[in-house]
Amino acid sequence: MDEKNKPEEIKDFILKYISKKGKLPKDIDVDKFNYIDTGYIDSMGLIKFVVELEQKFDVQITDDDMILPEFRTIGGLVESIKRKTV
Amino acid sequence: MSSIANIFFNNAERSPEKTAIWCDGETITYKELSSFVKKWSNLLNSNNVKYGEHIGVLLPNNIEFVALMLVASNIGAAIVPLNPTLPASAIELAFNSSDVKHVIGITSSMETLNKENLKDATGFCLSIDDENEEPNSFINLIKNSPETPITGTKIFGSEALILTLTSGSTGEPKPIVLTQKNKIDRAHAACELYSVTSEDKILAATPLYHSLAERLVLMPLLIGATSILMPRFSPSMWLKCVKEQEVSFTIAVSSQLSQIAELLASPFLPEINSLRCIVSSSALLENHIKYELLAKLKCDFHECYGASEIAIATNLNIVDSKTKLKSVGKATPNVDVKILKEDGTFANAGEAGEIICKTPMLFGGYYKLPELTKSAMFGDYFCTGDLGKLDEDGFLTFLDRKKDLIITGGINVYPKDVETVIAQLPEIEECVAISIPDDRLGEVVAVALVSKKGQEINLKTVKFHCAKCLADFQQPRKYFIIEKLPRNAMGKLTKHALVEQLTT
Repeated sequence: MDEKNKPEEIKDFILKYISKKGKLPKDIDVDKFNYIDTGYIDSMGLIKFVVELEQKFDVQITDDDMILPEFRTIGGLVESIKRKTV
Repeated sequence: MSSIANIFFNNAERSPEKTAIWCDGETITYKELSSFVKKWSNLLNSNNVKYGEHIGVLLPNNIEFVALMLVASNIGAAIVPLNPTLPASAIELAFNSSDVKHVIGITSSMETLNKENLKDATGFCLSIDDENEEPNSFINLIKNSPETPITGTKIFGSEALILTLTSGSTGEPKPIVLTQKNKIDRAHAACELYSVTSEDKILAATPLYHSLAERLVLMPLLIGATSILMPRFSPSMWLKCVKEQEVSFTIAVSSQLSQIAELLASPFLPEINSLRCIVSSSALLENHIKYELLAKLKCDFHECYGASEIAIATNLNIVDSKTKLKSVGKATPNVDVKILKEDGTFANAGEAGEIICKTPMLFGGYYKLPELTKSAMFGDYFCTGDLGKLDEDGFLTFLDRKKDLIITGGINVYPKDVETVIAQLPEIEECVAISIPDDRLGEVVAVALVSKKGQEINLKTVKFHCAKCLADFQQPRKYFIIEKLPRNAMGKLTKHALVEQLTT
């Protein structure tokens, strides 16, 4: 049986989503990249981003999740969604 | 009249090696930008993009976006820039209502559009982020395009340069026409008001599909100064950018400044001493935030009031007018602000009414909506839809909005847009979008929902539907399911009562 919510699939979705706000810098460690402090997702865009992740990957992201440091990096967010996948 | 592009080309001849724009670690000199604009103008010309035609733009903040504004000026075309995060249906509606014929953008935004829904966009479509070696990639198209001047196009100044859309996804869009002359006059007025010179480094940190950032990037290019363009905003990036790029002037929206003030409370931040002047726009800042910013940034500090249709109407110098901090200042030079009472007469000092404004920087009307344009005017005065009063010294106090509008992070959200989308769900009997205060964004959207008899509202379904059909800034932050909406004896919804019921 196919694995649900593969990490690469989650990462691709996130990268495609945030790239609408501009090209990602070259030579970065994607997993450690903080997409919030760099403004790819700002306070105005956060809700839509989270709801689209919830819908796409059938998970629930709470307000508490959003304040965790791991939520701010691409790798951390991928891990968090993976953990929530049932 | 000289076009914006010609004024820029003259500046490029005077200071070819000076940095024209810095954005996200990339810089471009006046000479390089001038060459890029000429080549791109010829590329569009050779692809039948003609004088007077409209180009839809789906770009994030970058050097190419600024160059495209100059290209449009150069060939006498107009751009229709939109928020690339808008749902495809909203982009299609907005492009159709603005008669967009050509589209330029980044691939991820353009590929979501359904060409069949774009009735007039039969012209040139260009993705500028193709980095491949194909002959028709943007890089190659520009490389092979001549740098010769555009001939045979006379610019009068009255041509539309930018059609800016303030409304969103479902209602009839109201494209605001800004002419080349509007943009030149507005840039020069701001330079004069805040004593901006060619020595300044001017920061734009809001999206370029809004008139504020457009003005902030055109100001430097029209006077030979340097534009510092942030690709995106976060308070820490703003401080880093101001420090490293030695920014000396900016106009920011107040919700950005609130977030910056919050960060400035940290003791570990480097000192910033390049700033000469900051202007706050969009909503009044709380006094404690003004003082925190003044103490840390040590520069002139102004607050202004205006709208896309009129540009800056009033200005308050916070240091010079400490007794007037609850006001938004006095009318700027050549601008007349009056208060119009409901009976159609002008108010005396201290009397409340609608803020109206006569300005040489007045917009070119709402595109193809002459009746709407007419109804927004009282003689030569533009009716802002805001309520206010003037004191005896001519200082304007903003009291409330007459228009049903939520301003979140400086961007307008029309409650009707949100309500129409949610009302599409079969289980919803009624839906009302309201504004609730927010520390970071000033205001955010909340919705009150009433279900149809015998049906249940699943909030997850409502949230998913909003995410699909509304732009990021339109997303509701709070949902309230209630039994019925408060109404007066005539059956009319009492929104104030609803806000009170939900927020107390």
